[in-house]
Amino acid sequence: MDKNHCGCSYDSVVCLCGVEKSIKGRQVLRGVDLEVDEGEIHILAGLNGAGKTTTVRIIVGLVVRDGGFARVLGEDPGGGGFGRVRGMIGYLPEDASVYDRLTGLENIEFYARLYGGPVEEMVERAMMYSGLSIEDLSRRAGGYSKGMKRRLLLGITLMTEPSLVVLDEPTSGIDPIASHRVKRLLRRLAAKGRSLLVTTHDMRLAEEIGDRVTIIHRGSTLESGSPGELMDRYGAESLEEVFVRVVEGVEA
Amino acid sequence: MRHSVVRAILWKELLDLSRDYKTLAYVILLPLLALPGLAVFAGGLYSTQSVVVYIVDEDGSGVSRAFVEGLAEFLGRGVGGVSVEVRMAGSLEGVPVTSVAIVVPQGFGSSLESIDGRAEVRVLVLPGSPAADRVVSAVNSYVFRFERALVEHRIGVLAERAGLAVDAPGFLDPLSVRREFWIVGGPGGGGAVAEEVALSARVVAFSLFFVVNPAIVFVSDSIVGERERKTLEKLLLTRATRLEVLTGKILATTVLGVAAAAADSIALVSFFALSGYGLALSPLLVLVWALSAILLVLLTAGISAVISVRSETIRSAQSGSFLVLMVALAIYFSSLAVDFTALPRSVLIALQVIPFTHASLAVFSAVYGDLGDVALHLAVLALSAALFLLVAARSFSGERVVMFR
Repeated sequence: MDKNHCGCSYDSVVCLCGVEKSIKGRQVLRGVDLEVDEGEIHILAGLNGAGKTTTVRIIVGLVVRDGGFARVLGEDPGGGGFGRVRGMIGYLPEDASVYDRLTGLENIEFYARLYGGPVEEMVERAMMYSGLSIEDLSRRAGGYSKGMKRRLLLGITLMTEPSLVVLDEPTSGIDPIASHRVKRLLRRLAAKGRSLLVTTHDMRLAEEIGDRVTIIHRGSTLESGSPGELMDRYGAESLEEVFVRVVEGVEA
Repeated sequence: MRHSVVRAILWKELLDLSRDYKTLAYVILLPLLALPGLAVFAGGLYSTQSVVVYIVDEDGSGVSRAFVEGLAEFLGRGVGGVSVEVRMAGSLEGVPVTSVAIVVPQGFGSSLESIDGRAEVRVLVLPGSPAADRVVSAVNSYVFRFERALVEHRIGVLAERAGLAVDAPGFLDPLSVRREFWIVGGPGGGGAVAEEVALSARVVAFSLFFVVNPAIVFVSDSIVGERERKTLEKLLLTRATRLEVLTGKILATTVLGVAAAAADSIALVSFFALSGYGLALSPLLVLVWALSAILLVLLTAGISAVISVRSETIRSAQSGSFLVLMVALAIYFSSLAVDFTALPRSVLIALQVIPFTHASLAVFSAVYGDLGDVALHLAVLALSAALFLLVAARSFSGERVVMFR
């Protein structure tokens, strides 16, 4: 398969190499390499403060990198042509919330109008992906539990049927049943050919759903591969063990 | 800019704000009740003031009796909303110090009966009593009338002795001033009505100050508050451009800001009306006020948006925006007392660099009937608002939004 100068295949959905970013004078990313292929669930793993969120913000075009190479769906996320593919990306930030004084359905309708296209279809899809009942959606979102808000946001994120889904800590702070539901949904989306980039520091989640895992630490990529490859490479019995060895290896 | 996107943001903002019942009550309902309530309260308190006036006639002459009886009758008619009880006394002994005492001394009658004699009346009051001051003012007014009648009588006596026919009022007031007005809008055009229109213009120009505050609160909450509530990042990842997002938010602010401004202005006008000031609000003045208020909300929202997108917290956004409020306060308070047309040209030009000034000038131009000037000032307001909106949109980058966390 043809590769570009970064070693990414030309049809990869996300290709980052040597990406750097400083925020308020502090270098947050020192050289992040990442490749996400079509139809895979790619886990971006790292400790808190490793640079996961900044990396995904660069991928979705919210933050502009200072250096390195980046292509997302064939476009430079810091360039003028990114607007053409922005609508093909669904992004759910880690701490995103909903409009509390609007009902669940009004939240969905609002985003559907902003995304453009057939609003009714998108609303139906959001309702399906969120799994919330009509009764729940008719209530103000301010009365929802954190898990319900997360499901509502996930439905909104997926209602445009994006080619690339970027989820920042999708199971953080939600109960086991809601977490199980999210994992099942992610597998279903990957089976449909969607590419998913999921950030987490939960290695059990990474092992459970990840096709490939990239470990970053202090703003640099340290390892990348399938969970099986990584466990073989480090002679480890779990991805968590791999993660600890990789990170401790740098710290030592 | 796509109208459907702006409409969607406007719809969301209005829906969200319309369900924020407490804020609506504080911003719209409270001023409607508070300012007229304040007028009624202060007026009610004022009218319940009562002063006991002791008139002490130490002279006991026919002239002093005439003076005292006339004064008692005059004060008995009421003094500027203060209730007055008049009592007669032979001396100051036993008169309480909380009352007002008017002493007509011995020799009062004989002095005034001579052709050039002088007499005096002593008035004893507690210092710093507004109600007593009103009574003293009424006493002065009565003394002036009594004195006038006395002087006319003396002129008559002198003229008779000289064998001349003299018109006493003409002798006393050979020259008078009649006040007329240039072009003043409003019903009737001249006289007392014109003064009411001019006062109304000052009140309306001052009321523009109340337009600024809600706009600052709504915009800073709409931008920084949304960031703090963690909803802005997702909004910026939709297909809506920064300009569309800001335009939708500022339009929603304008709708609520104008509603709040209308409530504040109605309350202020009610306050003046209930406080006894005659106001004449011509349709032109109300129309120019409405247009100025809308543009002023847009302008304030634009300035506040520029500050808000650069602020880390809602507190810093509102604190920064209150500097804008202080400038507006300086302009609109000045409009109560300063005649802008009488300012030196250089000062007026410097003031016009501040966009807020044009809202005041539009209102005053409406009173002078200069519609060309009204249009010019409103155009400057509109252009300034558009300029600040564009600057805010340029500063409203996704990176800035997320970096402030």
